[in-house]
Amino acid sequence: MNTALEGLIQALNAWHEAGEDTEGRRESVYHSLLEDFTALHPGTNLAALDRYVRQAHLRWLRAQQKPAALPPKA
Amino acid sequence: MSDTLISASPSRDMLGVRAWMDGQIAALVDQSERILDYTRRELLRKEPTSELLAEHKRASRLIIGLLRMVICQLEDPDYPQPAAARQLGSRHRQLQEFHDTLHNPMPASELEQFTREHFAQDATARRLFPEAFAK
Repeated sequence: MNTALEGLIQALNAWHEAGEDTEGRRESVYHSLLEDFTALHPGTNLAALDRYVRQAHLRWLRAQQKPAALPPKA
Repeated sequence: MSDTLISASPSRDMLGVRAWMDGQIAALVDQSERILDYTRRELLRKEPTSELLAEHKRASRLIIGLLRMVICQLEDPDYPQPAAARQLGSRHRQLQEFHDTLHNPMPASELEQFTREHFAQDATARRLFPEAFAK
């Protein structure tokens, strides 16, 4: 499921992974999504949202490195 | 001044300083890339030890400061190098970004509060920040 937070994390990740030629565009996309979110959710502080997404991205990255748990034996 | 500098063509290469500077910029870009790659691999994707985190904090602060000084020089109107300034500027922003994420994170209590206030119904937030909903 692609949630609002997932979209922000993916955009930040795309910026981090971008090469020199696409980096500027990816950065703009990420900042646009932050602004879209604050427009849809008045009262959200943009800088705090940015800090929050960075921490969420860190957890998301580390979660992806962990092997999936084995299913319980029948 | 070294032989390398004085043997270069003085009229075209500013006594060899320009070529030397280009070499230093290339080395700085290369070193920045190595630190960025290392940061992604060993500190962002893995949980680093406190020793590695402390070492990274010192190293990244040093290179961020160094890049800032060089970029400032490259933007000097007497010696403008916009392409090199852009190239280093992009690494500088990325290093600063990683530095802030790793060494100046949002405190745990704020993370939990922010999750509950803005992402209470978000499945990704519930998966990544379960502690915000545990109380």
